[in-house]
Amino acid sequence: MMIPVKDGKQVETLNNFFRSILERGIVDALLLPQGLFENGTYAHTLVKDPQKITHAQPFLPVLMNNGGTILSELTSGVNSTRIGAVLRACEIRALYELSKFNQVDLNNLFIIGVDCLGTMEPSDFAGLVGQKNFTAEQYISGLIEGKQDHIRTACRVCPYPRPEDADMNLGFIGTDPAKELFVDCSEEIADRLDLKKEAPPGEMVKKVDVIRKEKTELLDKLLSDMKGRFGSVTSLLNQFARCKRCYNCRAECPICFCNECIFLTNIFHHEPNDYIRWAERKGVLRMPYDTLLFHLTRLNHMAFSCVGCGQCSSACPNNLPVFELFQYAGKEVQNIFNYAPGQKTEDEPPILTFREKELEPL
Amino acid sequence: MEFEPKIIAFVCNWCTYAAADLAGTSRIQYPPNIRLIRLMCSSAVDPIYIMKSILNGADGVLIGGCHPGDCHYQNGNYKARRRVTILKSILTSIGVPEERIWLRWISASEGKKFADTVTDMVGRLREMGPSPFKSMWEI
Repeated sequence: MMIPVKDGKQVETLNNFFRSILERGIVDALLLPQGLFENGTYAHTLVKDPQKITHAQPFLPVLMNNGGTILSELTSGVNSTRIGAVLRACEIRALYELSKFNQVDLNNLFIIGVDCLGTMEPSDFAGLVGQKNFTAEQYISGLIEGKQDHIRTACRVCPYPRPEDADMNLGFIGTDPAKELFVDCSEEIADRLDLKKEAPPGEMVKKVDVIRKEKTELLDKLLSDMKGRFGSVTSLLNQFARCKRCYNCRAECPICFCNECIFLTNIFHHEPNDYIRWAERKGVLRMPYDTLLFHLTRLNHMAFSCVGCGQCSSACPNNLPVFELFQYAGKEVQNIFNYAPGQKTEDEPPILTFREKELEPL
Repeated sequence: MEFEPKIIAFVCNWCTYAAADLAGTSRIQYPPNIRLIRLMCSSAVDPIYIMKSILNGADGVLIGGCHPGDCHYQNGNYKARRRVTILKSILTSIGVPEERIWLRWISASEGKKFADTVTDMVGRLREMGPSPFKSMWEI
């Protein structure tokens, strides 16, 4: 069903909509992206009091953290509160992937998916908000027309403009977001919100399909160039020469599911004499040590489950193509096991299961 | 001086380590190029240890486990098989030859097979030559 945006005031409309979700008890708490300080800063907020919904802006082209990670924290342990989570496709995909590793409890979650045509780095967004002629609404209209200025690489090639497998969808692609927004949910929920359930208009479905197709082609094109960039150790080392092994990509990755990363333990804290010995053997050693090992380990542990949210690349202080590497190497493994990450299916990630007869001869 | 490959082997306590033991007590000769590390199960070998060996200059890594269906812990070797497959796929996609990593099923009674595997592997690695990572310092 469509909800009208009164006088073009989208934020007001969204505020009221999300308030009613809380007030009518559909959820007990709401994880909602809100603008903070009116200076272009934007973050997830956990709302208990409906009156504290004052800057609901789930469509803004910026993403600070992947909500999957946040919900992992909010749902592991004893949780009796029904939490609603307003999330983009990449966040929902991370959520489903994490649930397969028992890092998220889906039981008490109500997932509200929102349309997303791409996000930019928070600092870029804050810069744009500071400019005189910039309005987020205009910018998003540009995105619908296919403009991609400032948009992160991962988002440029993201084939999921509208989330799949959400309990409720909130969409603007294919409508005029200044005039109306589309809500898709079950009949029961629609009743409780005094809305009438309708199928999405044909135009909307068509527009989403067109964008999905265009972006899939862009992703395929990006992946086809990867062999040249990462296909040999020398080229990989070249691409990652600026890695300073800060582990930011690991910290921001929603999928990296180990509770304690092996690189934070003392397993690879070597004795001073070890380094000297290795330096003696090779004549010279790049420091910090084990940089390539770090990336290879992460590739082995979770590349097959990479949902392509691109938080790793955003977190990298030196703009390394982390997202590209993980998509490239991850796809190869996914093809072997015929596994598609980020979906609400019974399919288990390759590392969690096995078949008695497979993969032989060795 | 002829190139002598160095192999790091991760072997399971119940089958392949016992096979190595049997090869020894049976006085079967095999090349001394291998360094054994005993683990409780082949599934206990995180790929990180295989990669660390390769990146630090080992010419080959051998992972030895019980035959499928014979794992002391029911299914550890099936998991090891998946992990090694994933590792090989990732190494291949970044251009590291996966032939330096061998996963083999060698039971406790197969002392001869253990010796033959080591002999074969040393022969193959000799053909391949030293690992390029031996001299690579940029890693």
